[in-house]
Amino acid sequence: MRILDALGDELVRAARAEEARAARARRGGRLPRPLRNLPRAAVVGLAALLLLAAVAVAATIIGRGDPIPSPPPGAVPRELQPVDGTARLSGLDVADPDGGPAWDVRTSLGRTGALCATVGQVLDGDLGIVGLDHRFHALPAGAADTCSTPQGRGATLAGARALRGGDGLRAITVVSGVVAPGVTRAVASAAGAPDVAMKLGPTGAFLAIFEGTPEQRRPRVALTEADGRITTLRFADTGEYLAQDPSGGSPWTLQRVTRSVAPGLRCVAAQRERGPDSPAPGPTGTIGAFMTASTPPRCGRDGAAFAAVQRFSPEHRDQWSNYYWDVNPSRTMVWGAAPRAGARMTVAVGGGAPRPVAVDPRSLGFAAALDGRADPRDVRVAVDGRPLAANAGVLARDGGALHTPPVPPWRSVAQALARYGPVDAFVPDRRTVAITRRAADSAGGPAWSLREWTAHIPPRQRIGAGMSREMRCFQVGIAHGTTLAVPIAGGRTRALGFGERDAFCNDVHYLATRRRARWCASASTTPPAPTPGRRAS
Amino acid sequence: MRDADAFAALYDREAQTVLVFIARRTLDPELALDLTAETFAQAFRGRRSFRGTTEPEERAFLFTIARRQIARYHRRGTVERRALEALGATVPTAHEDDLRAIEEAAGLDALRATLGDELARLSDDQRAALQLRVVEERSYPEVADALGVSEQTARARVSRGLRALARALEPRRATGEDA
Repeated sequence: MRILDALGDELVRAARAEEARAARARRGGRLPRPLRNLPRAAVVGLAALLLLAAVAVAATIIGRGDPIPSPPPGAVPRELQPVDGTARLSGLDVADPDGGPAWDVRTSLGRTGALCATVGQVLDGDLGIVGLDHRFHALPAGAADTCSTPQGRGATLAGARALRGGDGLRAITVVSGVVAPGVTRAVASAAGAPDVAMKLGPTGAFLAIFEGTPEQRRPRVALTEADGRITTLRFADTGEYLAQDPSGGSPWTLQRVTRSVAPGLRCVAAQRERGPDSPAPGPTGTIGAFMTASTPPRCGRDGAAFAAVQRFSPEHRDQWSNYYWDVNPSRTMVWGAAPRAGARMTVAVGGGAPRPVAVDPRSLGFAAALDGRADPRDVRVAVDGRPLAANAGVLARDGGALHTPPVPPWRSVAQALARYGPVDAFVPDRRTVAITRRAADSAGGPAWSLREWTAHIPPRQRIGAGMSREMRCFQVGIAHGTTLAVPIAGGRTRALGFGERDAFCNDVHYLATRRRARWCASASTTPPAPTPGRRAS
Repeated sequence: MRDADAFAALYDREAQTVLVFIARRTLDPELALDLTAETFAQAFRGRRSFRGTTEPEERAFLFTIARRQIARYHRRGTVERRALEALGATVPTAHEDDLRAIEEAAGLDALRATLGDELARLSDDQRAALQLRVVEERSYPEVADALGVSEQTARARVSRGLRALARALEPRRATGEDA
């Protein structure tokens, strides 16, 4: 059963995550029980001592798991088999983003004369990898990740790998390799990240780490030779348009919208890719976002530049369309189209320096995601250095004019989620449940009933100012066996519960200020003109 | 059930049986899905207190939790989600065809029809008492007031009515739904 499979996947995922959390806590996330019982002053003193020694002992906090076994004999090609005694670490000591052992490259000579490299983390002089079990697993000495083909002038060996990323962890991209003998400088860069001038090891090894997957960050390595020549190596560049998110997490893609578009218009929309942070995960027990953030499509005349600039906050909703931002982090979005291929678009905020924004060569669209605190009125867009008025010439899909949207206040996801409590936050007072009205079915089916009760919002649930914790709830259904039920597809019925999804609940104060008319009626919807049914007294 | 792998195996083995067990006692496929999820979440959270070693013992452990969940739901009218929240798990949204699949697996249509027949066979007193207590969820003093009888009498009528229904439904229980 599909829904049971989905539930099973979710439960097993959560169970594995809890096991991993428990394992982390056992390894050092909490003080051991004897330390927890020490007086606070003693613990603080001990903590200070531990801090002083932290650098020295950090590597030993990670537990060791089983070493990764060597491949079976004969399974490793000769060029990947290192010559005994040639393997050496490069001492690059690149910090791990999650505070684990530092990263390094082990170089060796293959049996065919190739130069080989293996990337990993270093613990007590061993090269290995901290796995998803949070334990260090030593890499086998008898095989390398990759080797270069021997050439006259040597050859640069380079690659980008995604590591981690399972079990809800952020992925990291490890860019590493060994430069050819003539290379004097290696600089790594990635979308949305500052350039990193990499240290070169004794054999020319280099290494840089970026958060996110290679597909998201599209890393590059620029190699400068002694004569000043620069060669740039690109990794995971699929050509798909990507704009970085200011959080450094999942990037944005661009979509050219063609459906229901008036002739002569070019329409684009930006959408954030799915990832651990997209859609925004809500705190445990709350209803979080279900949709990734996306902008509504905006259009301009073909061949003319346009830029829509708008702030979106969690729960932003456009009352004239179906557009909904959901509970995603606040962003000020700039998106539109360039007038032609090769046009240079820039975006600046306030007095800040303009920054170039890539243009998609296929759709001519562009997108820039700014932190939601940026006021859209302070955003400046330029085409080839000439200012482009924000939201000028921006049209709806049918070519209709659009008014400049009002700027919603910035707010955090937590503020938005505070409105949502655990599902079924309204606790029914069962003493108040009563069938208060009945009405015959106008189509001759079973009679309908109106059931009412009082519910309250538990104290732990935050509510808005002026709201009452007391709610009045209503539901309509057919008394069916021992339950109140509603018809569903296929001539079946579904029993109604007292949860929010089955009832209409409203603040009693709100109801008290309005005319209270309690009635229950049924009407037939076929033939097309609705016929009023009988109203119960 | 020592770890997540064993938990996954237990889920694969028992999930549908537990879901059917709960659905036939609540007649509500969505509610049954919620209670099934909380049952498995509680089983995993409570795995260290489980001392059994065999599959039948695991099953008994699971159905004890399921029964407790159903009883708690009937008592409080709300689905408990403590273990799901502690585990950081959410129940996937069930669509119409999912609910239909649960209804079919649990044979709810036939069960509702049987319940209707059996309700019709109850005495008027018992049926009225069940209507007030189970459908309208009124308290026993209110049931007693409405029927013009003492609270003890109201309790007895509800209890006898439920027992009669349970007896009538017993032979129709789905095979293997009880551990």
